[in-house]
Amino acid sequence: MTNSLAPLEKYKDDLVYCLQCGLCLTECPVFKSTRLASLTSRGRMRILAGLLDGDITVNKRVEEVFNQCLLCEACAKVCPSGIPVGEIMATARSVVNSERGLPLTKKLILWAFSDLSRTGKLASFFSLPAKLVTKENETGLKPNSLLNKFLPLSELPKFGDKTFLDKFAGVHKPKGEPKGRIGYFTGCMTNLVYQKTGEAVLNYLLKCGYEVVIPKEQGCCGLPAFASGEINKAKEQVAFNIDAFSKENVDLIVADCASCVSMWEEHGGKLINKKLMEVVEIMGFLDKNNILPDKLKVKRGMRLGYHAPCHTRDNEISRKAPRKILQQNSTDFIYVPLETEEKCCGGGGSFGLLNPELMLNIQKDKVTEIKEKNIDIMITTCPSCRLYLASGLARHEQNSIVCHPLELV
Amino acid sequence: MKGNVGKSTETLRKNLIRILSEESVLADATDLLAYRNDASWFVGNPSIVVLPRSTEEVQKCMRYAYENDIAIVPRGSGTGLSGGTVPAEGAIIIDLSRMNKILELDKDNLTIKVQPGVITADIHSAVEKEGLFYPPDPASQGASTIGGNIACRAGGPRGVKYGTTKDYVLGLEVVVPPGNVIRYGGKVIKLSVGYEIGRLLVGSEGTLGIITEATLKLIPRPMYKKTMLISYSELAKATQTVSKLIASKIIPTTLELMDNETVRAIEQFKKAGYPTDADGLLLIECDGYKEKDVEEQIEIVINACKTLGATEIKIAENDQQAAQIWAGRRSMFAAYANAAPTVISEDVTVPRTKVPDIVKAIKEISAHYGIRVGIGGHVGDGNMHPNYMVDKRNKDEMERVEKACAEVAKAALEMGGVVSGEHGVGIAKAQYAMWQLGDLYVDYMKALKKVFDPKNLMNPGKLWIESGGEGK
Repeated sequence: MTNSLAPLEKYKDDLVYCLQCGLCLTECPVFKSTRLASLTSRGRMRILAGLLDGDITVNKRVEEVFNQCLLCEACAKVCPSGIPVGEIMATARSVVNSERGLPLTKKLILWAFSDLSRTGKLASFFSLPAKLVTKENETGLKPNSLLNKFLPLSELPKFGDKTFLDKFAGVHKPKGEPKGRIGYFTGCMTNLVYQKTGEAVLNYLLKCGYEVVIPKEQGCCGLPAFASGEINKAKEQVAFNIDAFSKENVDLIVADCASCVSMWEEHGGKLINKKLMEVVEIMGFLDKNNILPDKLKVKRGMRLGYHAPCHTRDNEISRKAPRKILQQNSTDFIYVPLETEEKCCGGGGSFGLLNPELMLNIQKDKVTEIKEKNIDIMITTCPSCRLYLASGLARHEQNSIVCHPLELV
Repeated sequence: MKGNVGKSTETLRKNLIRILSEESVLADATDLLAYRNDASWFVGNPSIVVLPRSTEEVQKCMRYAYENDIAIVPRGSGTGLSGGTVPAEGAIIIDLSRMNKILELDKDNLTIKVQPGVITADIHSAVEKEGLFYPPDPASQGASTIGGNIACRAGGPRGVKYGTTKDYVLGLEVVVPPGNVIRYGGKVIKLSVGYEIGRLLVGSEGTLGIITEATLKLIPRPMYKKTMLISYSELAKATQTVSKLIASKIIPTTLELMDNETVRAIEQFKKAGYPTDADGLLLIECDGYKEKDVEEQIEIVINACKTLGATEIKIAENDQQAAQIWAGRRSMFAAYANAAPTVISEDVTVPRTKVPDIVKAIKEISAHYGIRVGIGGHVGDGNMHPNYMVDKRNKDEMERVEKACAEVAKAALEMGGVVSGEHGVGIAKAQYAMWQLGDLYVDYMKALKKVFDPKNLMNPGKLWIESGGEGK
């Protein structure tokens, strides 16, 4: 065994505890799409054991097999032996990185998103050339036909000229005595792309009587780095955010991005070995406090659907809250429960960009159903899902809007 | 290690790519690792994996392997528990997963025609949408393929009332060596013509041919169902309930047993609200097409349980309560897995009157060998699942558990039972199968195999042990 495998050593027991029962297959979007035994957690645990036993060495195929995981951890939820799949995959990727280096695309993405002000500058820098090769519509940018040939996405996000943090960082007071002081963790997508989500969250919290604190100094949640196996980078980012919020003396932190929340909640504390402040997904927070919106501003008769992101799988209240809104309002519009409501969008952060064929295949059923049932608005609580869904719908020439539920309030 | 594909494998790879396509062939050592085993503890060593997309492609693969004297192992999702799809050294694995289309759902004939790679649960959801029912429900239904279910006669909790996969196969298309296609049956529910070669393929575990299409029988979906959880202070009383119920002419849909070890493991793993002081728990479900019919069944069940001294009878009043009762049972396997690194799940089956005896035997034998065992099982059909909680790194313990398994198998045979009810023989039970079937029976099986597979290339080394060969 070469020394680069050392970080995997501590998971040796987990590899023994993996019964190879195959229950992980039942939930894995990549397996369902490819039907390859090597592209499931069971297969990957076997491959890791093989690496540690010296049956194989880290090579291109090993890299592919580890990269072709969405890190949705749907499998971990059903694993009888409770194998910490997310952690093991991140470590496995770190091992691959140290042997083979990080792929250039990932390096670029990580670099671009690791510092939110840099991301903002990059976005405004590219907005002009972007205008030349794309057509702007209401929901995003449509790449022209030549560009579309090379791009896995059929609709690109629209970047604002200023970031959300540029516009809204600071302390916002409600009318009257505040019910509480809440920190808002913005996340990269809301900061740069879906700023309307940010405004909706802020306004709704103020309307509910909360004081909202948005620290200017907040960064990436760390999930992209963690998922790429850049574990030290992720640790730094987690620590940075904790620092930013702990100064603010808030009761708790909310975030609109299910993936950011899962990073804070599931991996953040473990990474830096510290109990973190409570971070809750906004819809779950509202439901818990019985202040979910009871009216949505949509045209009468519109057909609404819900996409449940993988990262609320472990968080029942957050997972159900958007559905609850759709159900309680059903006299104004039509809630169409999709059979594929809980199925994967294929995105998984940068997974979809790096594995476009897989991504398109995974989201196929979902997009097809949305088109067939002619849904006007899809709501979801994960900006990454939103990006991939919007792109998939554009690809199928379905003009549905995808947005965060609070944007409809 | 130099490169990831050996020289002979490289030739094999090139030839198979010529026959199929690049994306249908896996030869990298990394991928092959994932095809070395199923859900059992056996490990093999395949030379290559192919994923055909049509019957013709299966034929082509088989012809190639047969001409070149290479062993063939058909595979679905690899969720088997007896090593049935663990490859012989250097074998070609023919993975049928990509032949995964539901070809026809015939509501007027109550049949469904499927390719072998369709996932069992996808059949359930497809037919249930139409108010129809495909009863077999193996625990791995979310991953297992119908082809694998048929090849291994998969069962499940609903087996008590509705039987197992073998009872739902109306028609089959199979590819047999050296690459011929045989068709058996079809949409008819009566058939009295010739040898039933298709039937022979059911449960043949890939030793005769490869199932490439199946027509399955469906029934109308029962609209009403009641779920109960019944506690006993004595395990023996719980087990006696089985024959008592059958004698009362009641056949529940499901009749699951959990002993105290199991109940405690479940409660420790997931608070399901099961009474940990119960020595035995029964989960009983009755279904029917009329509510009244189900009510009547429930009444008889309650009476029977009371006569035997049940200490608590909990009847789910709604779907939510039923789901809660099931939540514990469904986490049973996870609970065992949490308690030990290795779980060996066995599956002897005895006549229903012998359930109390086999439960007693399992307990005694496990205690004798110092092996922790939890008993769960579909006792309603006499199918026991002793789950041995062991550690595969502990050689001594593994030897003891092997002895315990063998003795339990012998005990079941003495009671007029069989060594497997729904998992199949594979490698795990090859020796026990020979005890059960006897030399003459095995000789007939071997002779039959020779007719289909004269070169002995179809999944060799399964179902029985060749003389001179080693046991497990």
